[in-house]
Amino acid sequence: MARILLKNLSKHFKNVKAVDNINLEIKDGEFTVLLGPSGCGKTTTLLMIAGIYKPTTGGIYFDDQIMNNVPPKDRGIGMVFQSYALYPHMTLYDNIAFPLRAQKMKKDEIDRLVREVTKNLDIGKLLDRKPFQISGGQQQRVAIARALVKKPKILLFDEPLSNLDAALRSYMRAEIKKLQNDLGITTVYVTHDQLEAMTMADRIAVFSMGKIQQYDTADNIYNYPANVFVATFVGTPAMNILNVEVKNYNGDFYLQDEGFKFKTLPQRKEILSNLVEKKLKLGIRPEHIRLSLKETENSIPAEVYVLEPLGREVIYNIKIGNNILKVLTEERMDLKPGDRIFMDFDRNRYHLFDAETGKAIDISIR
Amino acid sequence: MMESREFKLSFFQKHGEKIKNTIVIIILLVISLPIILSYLWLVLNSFASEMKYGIIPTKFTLEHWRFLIESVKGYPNIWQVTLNTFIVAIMVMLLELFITSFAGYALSRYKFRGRKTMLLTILVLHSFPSVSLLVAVYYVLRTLNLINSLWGIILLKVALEIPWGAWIMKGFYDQLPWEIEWAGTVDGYSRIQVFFKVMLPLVRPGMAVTAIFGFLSGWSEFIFINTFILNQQTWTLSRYIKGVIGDFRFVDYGLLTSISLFYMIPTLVFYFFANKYLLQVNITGTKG
Repeated sequence: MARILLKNLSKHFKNVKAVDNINLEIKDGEFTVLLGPSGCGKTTTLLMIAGIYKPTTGGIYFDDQIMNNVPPKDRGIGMVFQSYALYPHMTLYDNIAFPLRAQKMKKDEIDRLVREVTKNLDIGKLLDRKPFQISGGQQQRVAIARALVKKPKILLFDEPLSNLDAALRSYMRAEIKKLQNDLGITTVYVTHDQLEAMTMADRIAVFSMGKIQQYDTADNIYNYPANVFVATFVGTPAMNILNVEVKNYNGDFYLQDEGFKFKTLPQRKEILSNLVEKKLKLGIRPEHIRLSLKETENSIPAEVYVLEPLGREVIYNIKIGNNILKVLTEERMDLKPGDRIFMDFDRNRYHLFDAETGKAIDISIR
Repeated sequence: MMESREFKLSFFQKHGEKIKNTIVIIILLVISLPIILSYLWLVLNSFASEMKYGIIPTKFTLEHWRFLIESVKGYPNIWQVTLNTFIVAIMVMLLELFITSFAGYALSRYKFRGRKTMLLTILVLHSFPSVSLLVAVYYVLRTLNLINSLWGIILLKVALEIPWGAWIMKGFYDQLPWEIEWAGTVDGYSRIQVFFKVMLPLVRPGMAVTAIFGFLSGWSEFIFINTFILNQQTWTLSRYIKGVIGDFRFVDYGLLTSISLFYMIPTLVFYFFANKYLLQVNITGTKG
């Protein structure tokens, strides 16, 4: 088992800073997800941990030992690739035994370990086949078996589920999480799918433009996003963002833009008084908005733009001024595009961000 | 010309595919008739003692194939010549295969200065007519004391075939994803071990193709042998045939045709076995 430490790590490809001075500590036995859109540097970071890419600057440490110049074969890692990268010319048995043969292990010992690892993964009966003779889901499990068989200190996953269909993906998500839980191997998992990140990770590192935007538990990332990027990237449908300014009308503070103004709770007077006339972004999660047919105190008139029924829930797209907001609710209202409606939101659960830097402003009530 | 012919064919289209196909087949037959006839003549002539009107055989005979058992007067032993041809073809094949397996990998996987220029010049080099090199090559071979030696021919052929072979091998390596190679290194092997255990087995079709081309180019080599091999004992089959045609005495067509057929056998055998690999070149080998 091992702790991973990335210190001021950078990787440049010619003029492109793929990874730009990141710091990350992954505790022993922890399941960490590197989450971000494509081209954000998450896979580059993973390949540096694996030793396939060499860092331009900075250090990679496993248990306080610097690994920068240690080749992949000596790092004690197991890795599952997006394409699975099984060896097409070998049987599944040989694929899984391949890492063991590198260690010059005895034949019956290899056999014992291969049987042991395949037993739980439900591929024990397929071992004589070649990779092209089995399904994608089975290939995936062979790839996991191959990564696990040598009992690595660290497990690395590079978008392992993106080639599977939705049902299988959901199944494997739970399987991988269970496996990691049972084995307690330090795991780094790269994905662009925030649902995977939320459901599997002990901690998530959200990447964008080669930098780590936030590194925290799934709950904290969802409830206390550090900036606009994290706020909009994590969560489906994405958080609604509106440009607002704080206005003071007779001692009451309002968040206002053309077409709407929201009255804020009196407890936030002190915080908001420092932000008057400043350009801000207001973030509201779709599930924190309430719709009603009747006007209530503090509610804002809106127009139904389009409906997206999801079966259990409905996403109402509503228009306020020039902004379109998404509202997620289980409540069924007989609405059609163009209908007039009133919206309100939970005044305890919204986020304010600096419009220039995108950074979150602490508005919690102490 | 091609286009106007297709345009005329479109007139038949309403009469159905069949007519169209028949016409295409007839046209192709007419075009390839000279080739078919010459091979037919080759086969018939080698087994007939007399030919009527130059094409209709009258009497079956194995007389012309006697060269297999006894040496023809004035020519070296056929088996010695065949052995020489095999030595050239197989050595060219093996050396080319050995070198291009590595060269193709390097061209495909490593970024080095001049790689792009190299890839472009490779194709130019391959289309260089070897005749234009004769004088220069003569000096080189003389300096190395390799005139009149099969090794001189082999090295020369290998040198000229490497660019083409490396290009083909590169195409096959390009097909292999990086992830497979990475998986090998993560699984506990050094890069060179991964090359031998994973990459080489996966480019076997490419190696088959390169081997075929190497063998055939060695087998059919004529110009260098005609120029640099003076001793009859070091002749190869192509030079032998040239000898049969080019001598001042009356040309023995029976002997000529049977030796030509004999010369063709390995080529046919190779194509027969290599078919499926050769087809892959069109798909993979020419990718930049």
